[in-house]
Amino acid sequence: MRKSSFFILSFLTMVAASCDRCKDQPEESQATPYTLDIPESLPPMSIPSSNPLTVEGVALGRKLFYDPILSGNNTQSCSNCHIQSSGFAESSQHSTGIDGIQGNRNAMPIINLGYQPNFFWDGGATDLESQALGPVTNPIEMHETWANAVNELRNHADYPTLFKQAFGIDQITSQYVVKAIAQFERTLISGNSKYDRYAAGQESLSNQELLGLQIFTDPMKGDCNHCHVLGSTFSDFEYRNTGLDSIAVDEGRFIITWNNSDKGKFKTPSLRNIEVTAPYMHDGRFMTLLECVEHYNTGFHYAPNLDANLYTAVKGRMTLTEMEAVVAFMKTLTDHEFLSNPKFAAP
Amino acid sequence: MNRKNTFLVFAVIINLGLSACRDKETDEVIPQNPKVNLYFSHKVGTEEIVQGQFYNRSQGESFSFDMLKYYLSKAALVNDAGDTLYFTGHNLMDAFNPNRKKASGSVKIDDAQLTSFNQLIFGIGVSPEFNTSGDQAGDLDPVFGMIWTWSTGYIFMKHEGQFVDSTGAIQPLLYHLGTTRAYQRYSVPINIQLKKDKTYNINVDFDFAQVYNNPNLVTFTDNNIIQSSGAQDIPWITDVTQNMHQAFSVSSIQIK
Repeated sequence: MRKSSFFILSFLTMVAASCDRCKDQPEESQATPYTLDIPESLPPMSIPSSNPLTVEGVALGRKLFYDPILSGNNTQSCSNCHIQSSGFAESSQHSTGIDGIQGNRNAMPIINLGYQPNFFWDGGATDLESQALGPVTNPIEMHETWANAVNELRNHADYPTLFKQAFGIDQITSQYVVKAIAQFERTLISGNSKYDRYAAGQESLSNQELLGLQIFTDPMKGDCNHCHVLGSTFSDFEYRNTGLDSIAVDEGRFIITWNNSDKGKFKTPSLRNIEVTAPYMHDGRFMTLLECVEHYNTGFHYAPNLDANLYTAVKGRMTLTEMEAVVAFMKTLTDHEFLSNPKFAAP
Repeated sequence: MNRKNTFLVFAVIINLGLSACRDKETDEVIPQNPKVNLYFSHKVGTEEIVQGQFYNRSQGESFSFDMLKYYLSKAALVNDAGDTLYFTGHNLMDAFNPNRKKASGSVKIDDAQLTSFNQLIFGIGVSPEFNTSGDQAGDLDPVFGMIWTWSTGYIFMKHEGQFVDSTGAIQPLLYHLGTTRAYQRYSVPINIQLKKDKTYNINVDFDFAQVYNNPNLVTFTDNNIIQSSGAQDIPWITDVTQNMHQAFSVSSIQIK
């Protein structure tokens, strides 16, 4: 009886398996859902249904982020220009690509990207997955073709298995490379700064920091709050001309939209971890935060597309003491736990 | 359970298993939707283009093709009853790759529909709903190099080659058509009656004498590198996409 039962069971399994093959359904990933650790200072993050986070996908994205395999000569990875201790930005004004060529924009910090509607300083990438396509092929960055990159990954000892585990796919394609990188990037959440603990009633700010907070939000003084919205992501992610030049050298958002009204406009960056992401502005022209505040106080030019908030702002409205206080306040936005979190470091 | 019973259980299971498959495989033959294959021929006038060969045009310029790739988007057949029956998604076409000169699909028709069609319509490029992300597979995979990665969007058509200007000098010709403003759908007259279980091979001519001449004259001199990268390229995009309405024609249809 036992023997015949086993035989019957085996046969039933065979029949079931043959029927499954008839259905010709794609194999579904068995990856483990990943739960984001979002601090109270930030809102829930909307994850695209086309790329749900999984433990395996995030781990794969992290490996890819730190692997130079995606560059033309296998010498640079994403992490060369996006360094964790620098808030996933870098200290050079302009990054240097694999051919020794420098770009004209400052590497952007990779922080809280899951809240952003589009990417790059000019918003040229419409989703995080598409953003990851760019640096790989850019001749002045990683200078690789996606055909080569995918081919190398397919012939790698580990990656085919890792992609299979993360996405259930038998063959690596560029689509899943950028999905994995985007998954990892969405986990790079920073929201545990001194300011956040102050806002939660868990820590005090110094008198100088409190003065800075006041100036930051005062519409007649810093008015920083207008664009770097206080709390949450510290940015409205809109595009503005902040009067860096009378005639924009880099036309910014205009390059994407071709609308004259977008000339010289760039995305408002987040101020989180701003203390460690120097130099500043889209072209990295300012080395210190005080220079930035001074620009908004007296340095801005009346460019044709100057943001209306600056156009109406009185030059010299802040004293040096007040500007230094704003800088002190901005330094309360540093999230030391994030900057050294081993989960985000090279695997 | 004795041996006889075991055999009986087996017989029942085998029958169940096989009958499940038989439902799918051996029922009466269901008529299949007609299959439509679009075969594209790339021409200058009546001449089929050959890679690297120069073609004369009336402005004293001659030009060549080293590369001609484009996306054929969402082809459909249309009839007077208002049916628009789509049969392809996005196909990357390549004039110099025999495997990429065809776009195919099945047209879902039912008995109630009028099965004669008088328009073949399709887009050249990538339709707006697919032109906002590079996170895509198949022919839209960025691996084909038909996407801009600094400003998300597909390159709808690449014509790269050379041209000889009026002084006789050979210069590069590089035309990359794209951006959502360049996406247009083109309608080509056709006369076709579809029947189930049939395959229709439709041969379509794509004439570059029209693309650069009719009605808008696109001169290559001083206008030979266009990458759809700024407002200055809008007139060129407008001229070329308007001209393309004259560029397609159905040359023949074979029914099998």
